[in-house]
Parts: sequence; structure tokens; C-alpha cells
Amino acid sequence: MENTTIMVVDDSPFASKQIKDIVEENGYEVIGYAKNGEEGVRMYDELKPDIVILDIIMPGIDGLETAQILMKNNPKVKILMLSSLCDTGTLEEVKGIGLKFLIPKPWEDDVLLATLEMLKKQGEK
Amino acid sequence: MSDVDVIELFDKAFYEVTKKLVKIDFEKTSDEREKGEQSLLNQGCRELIETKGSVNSVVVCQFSEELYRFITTAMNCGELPSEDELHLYLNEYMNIICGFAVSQMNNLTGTKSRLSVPEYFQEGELLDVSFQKKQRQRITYESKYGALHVFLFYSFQND
Repeated sequence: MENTTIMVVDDSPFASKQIKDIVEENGYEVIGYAKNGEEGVRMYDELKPDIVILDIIMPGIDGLETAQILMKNNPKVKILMLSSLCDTGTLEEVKGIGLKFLIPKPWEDDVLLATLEMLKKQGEK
Repeated sequence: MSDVDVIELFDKAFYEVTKKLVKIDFEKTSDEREKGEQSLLNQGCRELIETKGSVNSVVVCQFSEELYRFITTAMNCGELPSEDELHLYLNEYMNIICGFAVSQMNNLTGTKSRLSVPEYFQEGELLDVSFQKKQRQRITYESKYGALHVFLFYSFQND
């Protein structure tokens, strides 16, 4: 069975490396990193990952706008939002654009993995 | 929201998140003996982040050289990042700490403030000081890797 593939969109190498370390120990494969939203949109079209992990606060277009572009172009895209700003208002904004998952930075590894599992099953029959 | 709450929230964030991220303890100190504020704001390695919304603020951190090297090394699994990437690690450190503080502030008050992308200033780069008209507070921490000075300039939307 093939690993679930992930693309990380985050301007922080710290976050990208931490995510890679934890998810690749748990049956996922990180197939791409993008440092900003524009790069993330382009890279998604090339790589077609199963899941996108997307930071909200980034230079250029932020994660919320990037998510909206990805969802418009790819209605079945699965996105996990990450943010240091993880208050109820931000969660409402995430829900407002049609996404379900937001986890805080710094994250707990078990929360990240459990959320990825939920995303993986999303849309499965 | 009182002034004290803002300072307490940032103080808690710096202490707790630093401990979680890089496993060092900060001790808050009196900074009477330290150099002048203007001098610290314009020397060494600094990070700046802004909040906009119910609280409009500028947070500037000034790191001792040993401390910023320790923090970035710890965040990069024990290896000092390259000069090209070093600021990205400090940016993330600021982003996580200030995000933690602002999230708590937003949840406690039911208001909304947003964070900017952090900016890194290296030795020799001057900060724009126009924000200094706001209310100001300073917190100084000591650690075994040197000092961190946190300057908070802020105002409330309804001030």
C-alpha cells in the first residue's frame, strides 16, 4: 500500500522539518515544500499530494487565501491549516472558507497525526 | 482589558513557549542597570512583529548573540542554521510566541487582533521608531545563554 503523500506550505524551515520528521515515522511521505502561497499553488498542480499542510501567516498571499485558491481549482483537495494564531476567531475564519481542521503551533505530535488520519479518511467510503 | 493583562499574556508566552520550544528557563529581571532603550532597540540581532485589530502593537525583541545562536540551533536539531536561514528560525520563534499571546488575548476578550509576518534586523540595521508614541513596556529576561529584551509598544483600538 502506498504512503499518503503530503505537501507542506510554510515559510518556516523549522516547521517543515518538524512535520517531515514526525509524519514520515508514521506512514506518510512528504513530497514537497513550498515557502509561500504562490509557490504552494504551483507545486500542488505538479505534485497532486493527498494532503496539504498549510500555514496561515506567510509572506505574500496568506494561508487562508491560498486555501481558497487551491479549493477553487481542486474541489477535492484535503487541507490541514496550521497557525500560531489559533483563537476562536481564526477557527471561525477557517470554517468560514469550508475547512474543518486547524491546529496550533507549536503542535502536539499526537494531535497532528490524529488530524491527518481524519483528513485521510475524509471522502472515503 | 488592562495594560497589565497585555504584559502578563506576553510574559507568560515568552516564558512558557521558550521552555517548550528550546527547553531553557527565562528569569525575569530588573533592567535598571542595562543600557538605554534606544541603544538596545538599534543594536545586535532583533525581531519585530506587529499586531493589528483590537490591540495595535509592535513587539521588538533584542537577543544576545549567544542566546539567538542557542535558540536557532535548538530549533534546527542541534545544528546552527546557515546565515541564509538563520532569520527564518528566529522569525518562527517570534511568530509562535506572539501567536500564543495574541490567541489568548483574543479568546479572553472576545476581540480580534491579527499578527504580521515577523521581520529580522541584524547588527547595523535601524528600526523605524515611529511606533514609539504608543504605550510602552519592557521585559528583560536572563538565561544561561544571555539576555532577551522584549519591548512592547501598544494601544487599544478604542483609545
